[in-house]
Amino acid sequence: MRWQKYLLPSVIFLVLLVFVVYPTLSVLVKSLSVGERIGLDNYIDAFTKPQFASTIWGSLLVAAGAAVLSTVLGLIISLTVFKTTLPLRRFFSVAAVLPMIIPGFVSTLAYIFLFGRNGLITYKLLGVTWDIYSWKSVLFIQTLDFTTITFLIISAVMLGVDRQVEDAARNLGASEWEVMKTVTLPLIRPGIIGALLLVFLRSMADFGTPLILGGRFDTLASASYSQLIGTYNMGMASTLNAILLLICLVVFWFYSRVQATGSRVRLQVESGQPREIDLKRPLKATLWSVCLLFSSLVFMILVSVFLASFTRHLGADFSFTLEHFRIVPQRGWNSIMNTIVFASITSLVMSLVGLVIAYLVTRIQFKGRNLIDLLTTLPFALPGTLMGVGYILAFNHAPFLLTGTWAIVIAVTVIRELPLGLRSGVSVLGQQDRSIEDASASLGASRLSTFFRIVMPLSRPALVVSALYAFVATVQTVGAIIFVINPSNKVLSVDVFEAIYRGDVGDAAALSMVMLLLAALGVLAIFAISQRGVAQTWVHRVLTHHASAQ
Amino acid sequence: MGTQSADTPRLSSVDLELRHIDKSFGDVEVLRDLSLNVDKGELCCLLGPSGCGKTTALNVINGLIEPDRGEVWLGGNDITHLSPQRRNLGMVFQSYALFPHLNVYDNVAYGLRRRRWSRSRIQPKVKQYLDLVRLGGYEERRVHELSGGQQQRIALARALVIEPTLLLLDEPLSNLDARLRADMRDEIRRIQRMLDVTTIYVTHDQEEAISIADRIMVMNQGVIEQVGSPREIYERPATRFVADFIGQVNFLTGVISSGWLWLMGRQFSLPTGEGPEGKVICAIRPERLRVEESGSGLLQAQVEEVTYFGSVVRYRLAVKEVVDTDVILNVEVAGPLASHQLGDRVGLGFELEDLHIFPGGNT
Repeated sequence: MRWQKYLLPSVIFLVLLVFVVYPTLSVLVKSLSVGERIGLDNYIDAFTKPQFASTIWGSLLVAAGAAVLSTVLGLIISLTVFKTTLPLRRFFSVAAVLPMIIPGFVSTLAYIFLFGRNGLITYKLLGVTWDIYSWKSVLFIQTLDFTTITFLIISAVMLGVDRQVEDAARNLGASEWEVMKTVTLPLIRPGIIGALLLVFLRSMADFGTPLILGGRFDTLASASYSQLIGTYNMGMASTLNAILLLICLVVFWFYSRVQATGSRVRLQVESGQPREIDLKRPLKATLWSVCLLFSSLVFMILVSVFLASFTRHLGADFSFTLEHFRIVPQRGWNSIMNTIVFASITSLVMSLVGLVIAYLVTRIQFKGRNLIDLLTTLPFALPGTLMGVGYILAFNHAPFLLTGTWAIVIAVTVIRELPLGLRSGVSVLGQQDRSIEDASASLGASRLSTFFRIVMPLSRPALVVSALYAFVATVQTVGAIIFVINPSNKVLSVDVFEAIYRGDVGDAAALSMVMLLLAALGVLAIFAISQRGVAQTWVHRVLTHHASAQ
Repeated sequence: MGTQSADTPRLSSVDLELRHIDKSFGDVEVLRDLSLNVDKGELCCLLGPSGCGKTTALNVINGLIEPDRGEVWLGGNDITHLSPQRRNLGMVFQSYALFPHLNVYDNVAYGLRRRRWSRSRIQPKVKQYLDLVRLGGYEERRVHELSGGQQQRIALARALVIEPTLLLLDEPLSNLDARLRADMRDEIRRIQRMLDVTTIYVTHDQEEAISIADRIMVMNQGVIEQVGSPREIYERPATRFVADFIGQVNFLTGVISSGWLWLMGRQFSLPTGEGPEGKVICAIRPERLRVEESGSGLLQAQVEEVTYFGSVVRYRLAVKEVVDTDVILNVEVAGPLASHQLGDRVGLGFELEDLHIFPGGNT
């Protein structure tokens, strides 16, 4: 009977080996091969040729900048929304989570529409022309985009702070400012550091924004895309990704350490509405103005995408048209259907497989379960470009000839969402009373029927929420998918991305309206579910994880 | 308490008075015209079921909640609108609310630092109060490494080290297991007496209140029902709620008419001019009922259930002679004296003065 215990873990281990380890190793091998021999030539090029060496520093600096700026913004919005009684708090919190349905590369579209060479504000309103294509624009868009992550993480930690602890400080004579300085901020520090590291990770991996808005500025991710798609230099693309991977793994290692210490000092969860902190007026005015500015920008971006889709020709002719929407039923239809099918399958598979793996690693003792946990979590840290390049290298020849099939698309999206499925599975199982399963076993149920009759029904709220998030994320992803897609199975996100890249702003906007709609439906479904009891607790949990996993 | 070492401070504590406090949250009236006063050096329990407004009353006193109406007077000063920071009250929270990111020393020193004390003054003070709660030597520990009882002591030391004029305790024992609870209760009482600090102790546990308080205020639905010493509260409950909430009690319906009380088919003569007329509720404590030989006593009954508690034995008796249905009474007898078995017929007696009579209808 012993071999049966290892059957399922072995299958899962093999799948992870093929779809996580093998592609990653392929990239590393490719980066080290020069023609037929092994060598460091690519790495020497990457660090000495100015065009590449500057991308390493550029990526690090922009990622650090985006991390700091969006964490400060996230902290300011969290403080304003949850720790003050200032007006418009609900508006601010909606604005802070809104970028969830607007992926960064769609924001760039609005950014160009508003501030570009022929932009509505810069050109039409102010009459200035300037070159928006630089690292500053990348930093700007990434900061706006990633503030959702920082807001969700920091506010989750902030809501977990026992309000009695702050009251105790007041009672002991601490002024409101001292309460914040000596109690609130130190208690949410794990959240702040976690947010910083996570945004750093996401910014490093983002290739869309720098590609569209960077101009001559390149990051490791965008340079690797250009090396692959532009010049088809597979070796250099792999090398840049390998360097990127090293940086991401280091950051991810710090991030998991912060997560671990954060959970060790367990704060009281669900302590209700936190008490406000009565800060001095100038400080409150500053916080509020920053929130207002941020929220206005986010809504302007949303409205601009909307307007751009109805504008005849950007910069030249701002008159109304429906012409761009002709693309939707023509070229777009296939992509829309593919998107819906891929996203649905991904969310279903990811939540089920996530729960199964979570069950294995939390409930069953077997050798190698930590390894399975690690391999499932790893794609969380892997940049999309690395996975894309890895999948091309790994699956365009025997024994795994998958290039061009829909299976490879599903594989890549499932693997990318699996860390979320595993984490929410682990967390829901951690909350479940194990003796319920023991009771089922003592009543004669096999492990399998206990899983289907007890574990799965009890996990349903969490599963539904994380499945919906996986749906939203998959609808919007370009990350790895763009490398494995071929003309016969196009998806919406890639269509939008390519249209923006080509400069077909109107078409891109029209298509992104459909994409926003799909994502918004997913998000609305989540919030509708969250109104109903049990699921509510899962929403914030998955939300924070989702934001970080996207 | 006997020995008091020379360096134990006696805090210069003061008296407290609440005058006509009203407080509502939305439509819910939590406190209604609440007035109370606590004397200097007294330990006063605010006792009531959950949701009766006792924690709100505590938060009005410590300034975390501002009342809609009424005044808070502390040592002769009106502090109604003073911020919590400036009240100098010591508070022990139900969850202890220790700062999880600070060690034991920094937790206790927190209030002194906010008072801008110098390091050289803080150090001996913290040591003194850690010794007082018998946790000297724990300075460097992280709070999550401590047991519930130890956390409780740290919370107490942190509240006392600022030498407050008043100590507030919000359900301080509710997170401890039964055995530790009794120890901590005695500990709190010892320290409170030693420091002579005026103390308000909020609890829903009547046994805890009776065993620790100088005076008990029984609260119900935002109103104080009775104030008195534990003995008064137990032996002379002023209302039916108090009789029911404190200790075990048997309720019986009766009728009073022109000086006579009709109860369980019997007729009792009441001292003239006392009590209400018409339908009444009579309450009697189980230990005030006397079990006698069958045939003697005021009433005849049958043992329906025997529960052994060690020090006492509780009988459940059915009084058979009542017209419509059996009246069930709980009776407590000291363990060694209890000899009756299930089904035995017994006689039952009591003193009329042990009967508490409240106006009202059905039990």
